[in-house]
Amino acid sequence: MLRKHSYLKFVNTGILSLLLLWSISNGISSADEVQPGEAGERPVIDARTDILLKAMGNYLKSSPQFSFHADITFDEVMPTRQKIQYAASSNVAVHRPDMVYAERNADLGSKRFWYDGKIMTLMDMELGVYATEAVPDDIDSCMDHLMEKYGFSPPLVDLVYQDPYQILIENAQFGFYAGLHNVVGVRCHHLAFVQKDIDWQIWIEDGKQLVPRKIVITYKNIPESPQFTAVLSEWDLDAHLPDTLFNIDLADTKNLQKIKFMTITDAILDKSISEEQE
Amino acid sequence: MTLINKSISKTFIFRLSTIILVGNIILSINNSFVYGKSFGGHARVHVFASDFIDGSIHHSDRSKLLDETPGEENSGAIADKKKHKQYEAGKEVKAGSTHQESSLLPQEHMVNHQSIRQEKFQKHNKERQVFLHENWRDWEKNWRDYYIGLAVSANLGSTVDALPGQHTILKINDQDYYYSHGVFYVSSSGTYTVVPPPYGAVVDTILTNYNVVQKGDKEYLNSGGVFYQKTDDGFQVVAPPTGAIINKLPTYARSTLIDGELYYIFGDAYYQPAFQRGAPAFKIVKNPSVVIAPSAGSRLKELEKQTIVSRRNGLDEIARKEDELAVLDQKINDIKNRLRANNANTDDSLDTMLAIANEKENLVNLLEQLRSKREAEER
Repeated sequence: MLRKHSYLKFVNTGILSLLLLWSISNGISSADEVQPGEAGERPVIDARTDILLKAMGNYLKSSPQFSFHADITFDEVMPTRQKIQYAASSNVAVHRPDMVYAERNADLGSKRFWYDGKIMTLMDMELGVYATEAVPDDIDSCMDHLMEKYGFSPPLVDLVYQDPYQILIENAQFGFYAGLHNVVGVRCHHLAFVQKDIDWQIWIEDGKQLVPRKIVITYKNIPESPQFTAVLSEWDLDAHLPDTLFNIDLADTKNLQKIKFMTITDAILDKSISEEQE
Repeated sequence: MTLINKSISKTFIFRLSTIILVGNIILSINNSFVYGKSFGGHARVHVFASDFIDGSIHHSDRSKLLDETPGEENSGAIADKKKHKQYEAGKEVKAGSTHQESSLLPQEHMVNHQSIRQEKFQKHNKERQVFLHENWRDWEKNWRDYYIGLAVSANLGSTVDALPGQHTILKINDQDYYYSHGVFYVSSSGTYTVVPPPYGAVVDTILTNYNVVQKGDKEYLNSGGVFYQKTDDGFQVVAPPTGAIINKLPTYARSTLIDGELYYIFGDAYYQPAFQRGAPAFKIVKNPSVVIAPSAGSRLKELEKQTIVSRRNGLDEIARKEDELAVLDQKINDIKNRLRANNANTDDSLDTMLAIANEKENLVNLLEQLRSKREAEER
């Protein structure tokens, strides 16, 4: 009985000591690091993480023309809060500084997007409709314009911008290196970032070709935290893309019906008008 | 004595048993005969026998069979039954033959019976077509497969002999409707016709496959193109909310071009497609092919608006002319001053002053006219 009591006492003391050591070590490490949000506007990005992300950004930036394929899954949250996962596959082609083509074939419909430096066209294959608008004359301005005026962007738009690193890091509050991990058999640097409304991860190929191989976005402020996952493949950074790829052939639209874009302002006006009519 | 009694009683029991057995056999033969006749008279061909499917596991409880044969409560059907009995009493039913009327009846009976049924069916059909047309515009096109689109096996316009066990009776505009498992029915000649949801109906439950649509601060539940609003008593069927935007069209919405613009039609709603945030969205709009005559109220408002604009324009013109008059007065004063000072070309100054004086006179007359006109309009 006495021996048992002594044994229990020893175990308890051991556990307490371990807890104490753990809390001290945590205290020391947290004194060295600045947690997200505590440092005002200054993000806390681990040096290696920042270097790798910048290297990837510069690698894409250095290519005047490139294309890639993406296999995407994304969650939709039902009113019952159940998450339903849908899939899509995308092909994206970029010709800097003023041409982009993207197509997306998803469970929820297929779309094609053209931008030729003057005109942007969006087509919904399922419904057989398209809309076209004049837009700014370089990729960065056009992508900003699309988001500000029409509330959308082509798939994986962060990689389409002139400087992907600046776009990706812009709102990051915290970033760290998560390890060397495989994506479809390719060894990658796994980086993780925290932003105000999302957490995101990126897997950058470990090798000469510093391309992103996977991107995961978690919408943490949306109920049930839905995720977007894209596995990227078929990177071609020496692509010779024909100009015709970025121009919609009007003959293709013969059997399609032209519709309009609803701007964000339209939606606000519609709402206010309908409220007045109530 | 005891033995005799026992023997008598045994014989009695045996005979009694035999009588009962034979009686039962006769009775069963008789019963089967009666059943056979009755079956012949009540033969029904189930056009389709499908379960209610509402698309959710929770609501997977089965309902009754749907049947497209007309009801049998009218005199025509009773007369038919008598004919069948008379005929079948003198004929044999061959073993293995089907229980369908056509295999039992001679040709003239069959034609007569079928023609009566046909006539009855056509009458019912006409009645329900009229009712549907009066209540739901272009229902065959605009409400096509509404219930099928909701994964419910009920064909609009079709008829059932009996309602599902659990149903609710609703009265809307003096018309009785029946509601069960998401399907609305009306009664006609003892049968029940599947109809689209009537506006104003309030039901306890709706099918679970709906989407929430927000318009202003109001919330609607869109169940395959039919809009419900929550009330204290349940869910009320309401008209499609004009101006609301939905992301998914009803399954069987049809497209149409009006003045070169694409629209989709389902039920009473017109949907105008547009890309919203990169995805097709559909705004509920008023019928674009109908030019709506302005109401008395809106005409009055328009007149008021025109009056305000006209008054403003009139006052503006008077103000402008007054300014011009002031300028002319100033010019006359300047000339007068110059003449007094003898430092101007006298003839030129006089001529100019006379011209200005004439102009002023004209302007004063014009101003007077404008003011009179303005006063008349004000009156």
